[in-house]
Amino acid sequence: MKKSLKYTIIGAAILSLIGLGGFGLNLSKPKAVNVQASFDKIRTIEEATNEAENVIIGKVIKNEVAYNYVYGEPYPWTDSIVHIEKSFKGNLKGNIVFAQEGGLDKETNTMILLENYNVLTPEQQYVFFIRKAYIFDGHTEMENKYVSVGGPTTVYRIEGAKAKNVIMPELNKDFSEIEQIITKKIKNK
Amino acid sequence: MIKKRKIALLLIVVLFSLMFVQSAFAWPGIGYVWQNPGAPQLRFVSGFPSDLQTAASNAAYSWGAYPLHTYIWGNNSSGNLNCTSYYNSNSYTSGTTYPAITLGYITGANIEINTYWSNSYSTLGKQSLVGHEFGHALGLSEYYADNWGLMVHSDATRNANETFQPRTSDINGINSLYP
Repeated sequence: MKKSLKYTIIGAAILSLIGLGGFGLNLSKPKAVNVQASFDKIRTIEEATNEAENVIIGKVIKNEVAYNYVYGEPYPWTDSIVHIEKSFKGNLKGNIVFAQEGGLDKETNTMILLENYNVLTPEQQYVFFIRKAYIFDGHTEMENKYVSVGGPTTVYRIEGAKAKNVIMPELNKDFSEIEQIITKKIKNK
Repeated sequence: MIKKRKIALLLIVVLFSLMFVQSAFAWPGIGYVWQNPGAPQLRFVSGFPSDLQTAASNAAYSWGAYPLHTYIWGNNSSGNLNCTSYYNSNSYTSGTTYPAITLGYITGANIEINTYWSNSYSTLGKQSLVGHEFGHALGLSEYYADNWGLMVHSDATRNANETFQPRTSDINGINSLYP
C-alpha cells in the first residue's frame, strides 16, 4: 500500500512538472489578441478585380518582422515576401513585399490579429487583389510595398480546389469559380 | 490513504488544466461581457475630432434608446471606452475595437476610427460606424446572418441599408449577453 502511494506521488510530480512546463511554454508564447474591425466595404471578386492594379496567385516565402503603429492604428503591420506564381492582371513578376495588418507587437509580446486574421502562412498559396501602397506624411515604411484592396477581406487562401477567404468563411468559393470570375472581368473591361 | 490519492489526482488535474489557461484567455472580444453592465463610459481622447465626438454621443444614445441591461455613459475624462482616431489610406479598416479583458470580463476598450474613411461618411454614416464599434465594446461580434444589423462588417452595407442605429438582431445579441 505504501509503495503504491509512493508511485502515485512520483507520478503526480512527473505529470505536474510536464504540466508546469506546458504552462511555462504558454506564458512565453505571445498572447493573441483579437481586434474587432469594421471595413469600408466588402468587395465582391468582380469589384476587387476592378479595383486592384494586380491580381495574382502568390506563394508566401516568409514573413518579415512586424513593425509598429506607423499611423497610430491599433495594430502593427507585417510584411510578407510573396513569390508571384500567376498573374491575372498587371505584369508583376518575381517577388513582391505584401504589407498586411496585424502581427507581433514586440513591446508587449502580443500577437495582434485583425478579426482573427492570422498573418499569411509561409509556403501557402493565396489569391491577392493588390495595389501599390501609398506613401504619405513623409512615412517611407510602405515604399515599394503592396497592400490588398479591401484588406484581409480580399485575400483568399488556396486549399486544393477551394479558395478560402482569410476572415469571412461565407465568401469561400471554389478556386475554379474565382479564376473564372477574374478572367471574365478582365476580358470584359 | 484513499484521501491522499484523491489529493494527488486532484493536483494532477489542476496542474494539467493550467496548461490550457493561457489558451482560454487568448481570444478576447467574442463572448466576453462587462461584469457591471452600467460601467461602459466614453472618453474622448485628445485629438478625437468633433464630428466623431458628435457621432459617438449619438451612437451611445442610440444603444441607450432600448430597454437594455447595459448602456454607455457620455464622455467623461475617467471613462473606459477610449475614443481615438488615426489616418491611414493604406488600410481598408474604418474602425477597430481593442477590448481590455481582465479576469474574463471586459473592463474597457480602445475604439479607433480611421478618418481616411470616416471623413467621407455622412453624419449618420459616422454614427453607424462608431455605433458598430460600441457594439463590439459591449461584447458583440459580427453578425453574418443579418445584413440589416448594425453589427455587419461593412460600412457600405450599413449605409446602403440606412442602418444607423441598433436593429432587432443587435438588440437580441445584447439581450442574450446581458439577460
